[in-house]
Amino acid sequence: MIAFLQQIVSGSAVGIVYALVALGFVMVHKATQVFNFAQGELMMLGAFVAYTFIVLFGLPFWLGGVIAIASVALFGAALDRILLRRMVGTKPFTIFMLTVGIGFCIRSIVMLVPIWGTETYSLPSPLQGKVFSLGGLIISADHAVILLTAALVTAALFAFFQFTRLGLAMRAISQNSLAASYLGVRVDSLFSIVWALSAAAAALAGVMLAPLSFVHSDMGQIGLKAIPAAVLGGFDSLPGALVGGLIIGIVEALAGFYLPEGVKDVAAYIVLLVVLAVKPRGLFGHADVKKV
Amino acid sequence: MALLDVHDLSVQFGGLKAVDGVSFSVNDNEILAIIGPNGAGKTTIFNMISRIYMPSRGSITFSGRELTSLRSDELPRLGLARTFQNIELFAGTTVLSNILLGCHVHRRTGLVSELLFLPVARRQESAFRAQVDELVEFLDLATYLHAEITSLPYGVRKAVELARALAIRPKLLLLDEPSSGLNVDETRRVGELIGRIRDRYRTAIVMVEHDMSLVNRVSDRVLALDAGRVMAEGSPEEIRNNDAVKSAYLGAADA
Amino acid sequence: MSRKSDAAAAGPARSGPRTTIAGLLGWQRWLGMVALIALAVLPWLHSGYWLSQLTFVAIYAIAGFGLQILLGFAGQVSLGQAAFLASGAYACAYVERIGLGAPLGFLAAIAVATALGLLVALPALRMSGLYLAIATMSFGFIVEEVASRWTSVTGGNAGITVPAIRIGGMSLGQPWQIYYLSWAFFLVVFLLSANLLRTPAGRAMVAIRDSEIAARSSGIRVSRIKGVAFGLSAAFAGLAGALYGHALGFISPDQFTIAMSLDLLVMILIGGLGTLRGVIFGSVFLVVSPELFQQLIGLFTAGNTEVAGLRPFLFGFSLIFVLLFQPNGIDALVTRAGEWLATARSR
Repeated sequence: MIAFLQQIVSGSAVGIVYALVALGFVMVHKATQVFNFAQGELMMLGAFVAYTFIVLFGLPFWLGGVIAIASVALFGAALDRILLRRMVGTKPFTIFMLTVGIGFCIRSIVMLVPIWGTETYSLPSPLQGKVFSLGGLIISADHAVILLTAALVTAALFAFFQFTRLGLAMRAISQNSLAASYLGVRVDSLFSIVWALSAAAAALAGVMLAPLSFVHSDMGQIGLKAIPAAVLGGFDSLPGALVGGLIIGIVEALAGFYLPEGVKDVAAYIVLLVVLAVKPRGLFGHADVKKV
Repeated sequence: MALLDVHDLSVQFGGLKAVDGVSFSVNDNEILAIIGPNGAGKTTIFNMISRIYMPSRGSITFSGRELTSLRSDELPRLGLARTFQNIELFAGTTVLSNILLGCHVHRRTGLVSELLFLPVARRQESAFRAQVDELVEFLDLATYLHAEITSLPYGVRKAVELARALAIRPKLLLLDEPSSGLNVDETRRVGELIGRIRDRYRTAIVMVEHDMSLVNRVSDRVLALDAGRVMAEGSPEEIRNNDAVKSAYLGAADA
Repeated sequence: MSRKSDAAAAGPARSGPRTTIAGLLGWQRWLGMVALIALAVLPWLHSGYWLSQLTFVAIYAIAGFGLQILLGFAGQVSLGQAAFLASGAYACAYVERIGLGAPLGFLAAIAVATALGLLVALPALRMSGLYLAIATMSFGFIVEEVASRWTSVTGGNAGITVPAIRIGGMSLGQPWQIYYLSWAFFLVVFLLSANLLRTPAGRAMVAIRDSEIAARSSGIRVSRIKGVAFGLSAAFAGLAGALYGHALGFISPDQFTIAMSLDLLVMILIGGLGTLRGVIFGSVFLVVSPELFQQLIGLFTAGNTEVAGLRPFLFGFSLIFVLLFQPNGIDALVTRAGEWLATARSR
């Protein structure tokens, strides 16, 4: 029983990382209908920037993390301004392929930068090794901080979208950007803000994931596991992404503990296929009926 | 026996009764116009006949077959074709391809003979192509044959959609607002065209229309709808003089 | 910028379909002839590196035709084609390793891959766009994992060697033999794909891509045609996988990853989505350009050409460039060049 609960706890921590990346997917898709395949690469970029400032330049962990998140957020906004802006009105598949290209470029540039390259690096957190015990369960301080941070971030984002004027404007542009712009909403700037927030979420995920595993140019693939999380939660729901991420993380941990070797690596995708087989438009999706 | 027999057709969207107990029939070679204000349920009836919507009540009988148990892709084989209000063409390909797709219902070859382009597939392509050429000549589309759909003017697109529907060799053709978006001249030509289609291809035609001059010139009978119900049915002259129709649709002041 | 606006500017009538041999313009037929002769003669002039590169051009093109049929014609997004290549490669290798010979091996490759493709088609029929892409991507990851774990058949992560092709008593293990075999299969697959486009099944796929509602109202059975698209695309991918295994002599799960699926996707888009020529251009680009790019970089970095990251950078940058400025790919560029040449010569 203890072992089972232990898996739930450690699975939740990884799940939260997935949830943060998934939040980014969902935010961008909700606002712009774009599936950003480079989300995982943005997470990887955040981890590398954090590594550079924390390990190479010796800054405190929290400061390096903030710099990483801020710089990747700016990068996300720049991507929107420079590249994605030009693709407004094109087919969703074309824009998706553009994000595939962007992902390739981010990954390759990381591989080509001399101080980064294809090596594996470790980024220890200041809480490394500290654990506390809760009724027989060992909870590492890292995990606890991750859980807390992510819960706060999700709550903050949700409150932002739900209760602030800026958030309301963003929901408006996701429903009908043309009408919103006629009502005076600065649609362009808001799109950039959404991309910045989404990139920031990915970077935060990278900063939190790095101490748990490592920093490497292939990290982006972990980000792909956030896609099942987003689909589970319903691709247009922020709290859903959090729940979806947690579920995927926990399922993975349990699969790694109880099921044969290798199932853990694809558990997320098996869950996804099962969900899509039953509900081809995602858990909460509805059919797009074309009016003729 | 009527070619098309619609009986007590009804459908509800949420709480709204879009179509309520509509009944009418169409005979071979007949031209029936369905008129009514916006929201009267005209296109909804078409969408039920062509099986895009499922009626909540009623039956649709075509050539003796009950349509409500069929899928929309089974209708062309029975001889039922339609055009759409907003023109549903295959926008990523050419005019020729679009019309050839109308011939799909006459396909007798299987995947293997097509992949290997066996003589039977070759002969079928020639036959299809001859059919297309005939329609292209009939609808004056020769200059546009290899053009991409996206480069075409609106009137030409409507003609292509019509050609594609005619390639099915339908016994009944459903035309959804054939004159919408066309000017007076083009509308007049559409009227002549509809008459010629009926004469040449022996097709019955049901059309949803707003242009009363076209309706009066071309139709054998007119069905007037309002708020999902049948208001009146009769010859164009009878409908023109019907008081209820006049006040609901044509405006009580003029006739 | 787009080919559509070109057509509008030039007037409604344009040249005929570019995708059948009969439809190719005169100078393109000559170019095709020259290319075929050059390809046929190559092994006599040169062996080694370029021979193997061009073998892979043929192999990727075969897989590419499969993806073009599924995505370019039928409009179904697949991020998991590598799974079908893997199933073909492993099926063929397995059959040959237990001594049943190459013809049966290739047959098994096509059969297993097709079966898998039809299996994927069943749930895929109800999915579209985003969810279909995600589902096929997941399928790819799962197959990759299965290949790692099913050690008795696939040899696991260590991989397995692929025996030389044995037909009757003959052994076709030489690079030039694989080269001719691959190009022979390429021609067959090209012809099948060209035939598909000019017959009802292929046209129906394009119809489904452009408007499912209109397709249904024209009597097309959408489910069945989608199934054909998935099946054919998997069959071609399986064949490509079998050839791939023989060309390398060795297969392992880490060759058939999402990277390969993405490479195929990038190849189709850069070459030209929706055309057969685009597959050929894309395949040449995929195989040849990394080499050229590395030589180019080598000029600047004083000989150190083996830098990781150049290939994804080249592909990413090219893809972004193409999507921003010429979304219809190299194929559209070639068409434009041909039209320009035609008008220049008529003056």
